[in-house]
Amino acid sequence: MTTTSTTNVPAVTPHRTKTPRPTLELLKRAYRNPLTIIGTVLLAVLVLTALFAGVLAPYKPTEIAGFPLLPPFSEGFILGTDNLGRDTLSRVMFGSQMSLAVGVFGAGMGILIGILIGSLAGYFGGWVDTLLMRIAELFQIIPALIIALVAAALFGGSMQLVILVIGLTFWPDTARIVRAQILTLKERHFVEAAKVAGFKPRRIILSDILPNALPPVIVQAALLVGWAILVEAGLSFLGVGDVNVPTWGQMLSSAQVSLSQSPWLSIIPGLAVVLSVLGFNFVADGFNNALNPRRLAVEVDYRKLNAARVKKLQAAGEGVAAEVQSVESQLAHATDETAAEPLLIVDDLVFNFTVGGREVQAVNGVSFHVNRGECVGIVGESGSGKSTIGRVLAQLLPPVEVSRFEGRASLDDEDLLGLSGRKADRVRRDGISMVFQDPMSHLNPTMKIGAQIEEAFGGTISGAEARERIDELLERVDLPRSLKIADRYPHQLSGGQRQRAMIALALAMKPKLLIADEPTTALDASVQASVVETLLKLHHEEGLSILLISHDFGLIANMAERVYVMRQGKFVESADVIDLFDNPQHEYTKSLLAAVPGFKANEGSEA
Amino acid sequence: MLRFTISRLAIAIPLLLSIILILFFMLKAAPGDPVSVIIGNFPAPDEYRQQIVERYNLDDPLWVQFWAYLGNLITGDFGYSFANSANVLDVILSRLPATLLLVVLGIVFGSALGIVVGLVSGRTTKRGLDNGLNIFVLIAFAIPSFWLAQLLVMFFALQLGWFPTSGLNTAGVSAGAWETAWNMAWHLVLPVTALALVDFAAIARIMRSSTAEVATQDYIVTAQLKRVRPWRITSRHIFRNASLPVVTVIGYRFGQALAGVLLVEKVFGYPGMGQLLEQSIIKRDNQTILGIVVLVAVMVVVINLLTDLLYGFLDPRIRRA
Repeated sequence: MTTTSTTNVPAVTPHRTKTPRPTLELLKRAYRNPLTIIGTVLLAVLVLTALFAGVLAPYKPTEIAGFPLLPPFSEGFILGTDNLGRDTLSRVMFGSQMSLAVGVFGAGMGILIGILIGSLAGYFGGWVDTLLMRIAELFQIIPALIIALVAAALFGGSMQLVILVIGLTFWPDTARIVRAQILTLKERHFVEAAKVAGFKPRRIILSDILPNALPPVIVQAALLVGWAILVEAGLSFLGVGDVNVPTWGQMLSSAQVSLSQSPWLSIIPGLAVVLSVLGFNFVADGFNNALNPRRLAVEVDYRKLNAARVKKLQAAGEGVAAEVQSVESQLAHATDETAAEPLLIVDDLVFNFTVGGREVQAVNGVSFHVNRGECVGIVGESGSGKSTIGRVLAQLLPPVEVSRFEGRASLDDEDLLGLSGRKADRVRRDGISMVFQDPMSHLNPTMKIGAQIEEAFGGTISGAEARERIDELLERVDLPRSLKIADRYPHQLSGGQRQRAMIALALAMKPKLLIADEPTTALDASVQASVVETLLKLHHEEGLSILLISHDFGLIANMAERVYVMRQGKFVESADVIDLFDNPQHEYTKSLLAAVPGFKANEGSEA
Repeated sequence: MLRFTISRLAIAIPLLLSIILILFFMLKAAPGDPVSVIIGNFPAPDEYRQQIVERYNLDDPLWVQFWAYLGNLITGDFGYSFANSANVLDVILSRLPATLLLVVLGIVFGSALGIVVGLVSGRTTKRGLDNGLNIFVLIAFAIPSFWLAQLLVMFFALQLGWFPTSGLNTAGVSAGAWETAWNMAWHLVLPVTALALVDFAAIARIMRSSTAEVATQDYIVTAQLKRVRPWRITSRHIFRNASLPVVTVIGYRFGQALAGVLLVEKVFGYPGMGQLLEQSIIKRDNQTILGIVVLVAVMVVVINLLTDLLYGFLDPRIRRA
């Protein structure tokens, strides 16, 4: 073992190859959005007008060329004249120069300062970060417009001054973005590699971090230019600046006195401001969407899905509710002479969906059953589709695009998949409840535990009665009244208490079946055992039927009576828990068992 | 909560001092003789100039000058305004209530509408509605408040005659308290609308992303498990959690609104600080300008402190800490 090997391992040239494809891809995606195209056209018009105002404008902006207050479409004056008889069209065209100059240089300066300060804060962290972010707060507290007004009063309101003030007040947002980007990028491997390779901070920031942090900064830049144009318009509206240099704000200011006679004097320059700013906003929004595609809150349309499912079943000449005649449950009945009563029957369930254009065959034809009062385990690696089964049965699917949904399921002889709307809600609320892996994230942080449990009653009881029931429920999961858990917020509980509260919440629905999806995985090892004990107590003493989903063979061995082993959407083996441990049949089961610490399978490793 | 309050105060006070320090150095850096910079463009008598030198310790080192400047401000002495022949603080305070009324109403209505629109567009499953609201918000962001004010005046006041064009009361109307209030409300409709637009846009944007974010949280799945009705999930679970970030932004919006109100007041000839500031700029009444800025800074810092505390109160994770 040599220590040098660790420093030599990372390929010394950190990722510097410029791949043009992501940028091109980004452009393509951005310009698929009509808003981006409209925005770009608006900006092109703005820039061309500003550049060629001298050529395009029919008059000089300060020239008194005709009668005052001519309306638009007067002869020789398409947009009319102002109160001094100057051509409005020419003034709007020349006004674009000031707006664009202040916008681009002011915001550009702000962006540069922001990149610099954000890089330093993000890269060095610690007190440098704290200090710089405090300064950012300071600069954000007083609006640019007001600082610019004071500066103009004290130093005279030149264009350079306005640009300087905008630059000095516009940087904090950019600095925050760059800082956040750097904080996330800093941990990436190629930056780590560069550090290990001994490159200087300056080089790492310039060549590795910044190019990757740039896209969101570009979005921010476009927004800032628009914002700077608005500030400039406001300043010149208040009279800051040179009277002989036409600006849109100045035009709006002089329109103020003739609003009743000549509304166009206000409408035209105002539209110029709005369209310019809108151009920047649209482009920023288009690129922002291309960078972080907005995900609509798509809801799975169970009604539609189910209609397709039923149609398929009927075509095959079968009924909707799962019948006990399915091969799997017949087998179960044959082996189980005590004539156990099946509670949940799932028959040939298929559930596939697409994510990012790729099909995930999460559940691919599984059949199983849970008898009344039984605890059945489904075990498999993460990604085997075991959690999806629980989610499908409880209709708690994340917003995915479902590509295949087939099979049947019934709970207590009531169809479980086919219902939708209020009836489905009733059947499920009375039938299935769930406990999840991470109780912290599954409890609302701003609501007291008691109120969260009360919601699970479905409005059937309230007030003191509800409170009594809540306390009873909490006691059932070993949370004594003296702890006053109901009056607390989730963050005030320990991890074990939170999971117990979650179990109480699930019990409040009086479920026939409790689906426990990795109920102990997120807990400390010492707490796991006591939560398992609580679950076992509920199972043995109160006869709670449990479908236990876990990757943890130890937990399954501890709790379940029967086990299904799941792999890639299918069950590869099912058996009584003791049989399975003593005599695993499938290779996959054996390999899973071999991975359990301290467990030796009967075959293989012994010998 | 106490610790949180103290930590926020520990940030607010140095912030305020830094702002005053920056203003002080801007005063020092300004061209021209220091006395004129302070009092502005007024042919003040020599005795008064001498008074200024003494009061601001202008002959002493910089740090003594800053100390004197700060001392004056803390005791509420903002100087004397020649343009208005009155104490700066009195002049500003006489204008402040009208401006605050406008700013607060604008923020209240703008935020309320922004929260509703943000909630709807963050929750909707209809792409068309979401896109439409998004474009609406982008346009609202692009409209200068003072131009909207002009449009409102031209259309609703001059063309239709529904609302008065300017001021806060109708001159010569002296009636009962109710009628005065009604009359005032009538005058406030257009300026508040103009001012509320940008707050609306800003809040709607934040509320939208925050709503979309909260909607993907695991505790929403729990609510669905409990078969809570969708509108109740929105009102009980999403609204409260999603509006938390909005609270902190409202403090920042307050500063922006104080800038925006200066512009809107000009359009409506509204008797507030905006008018005062504009006149002071024209008359080069620097004492008043600086007074206004210091007061704006104090208010912004205080409001930010209050919204931070409100945030702490609304979020039990901080309140109970």
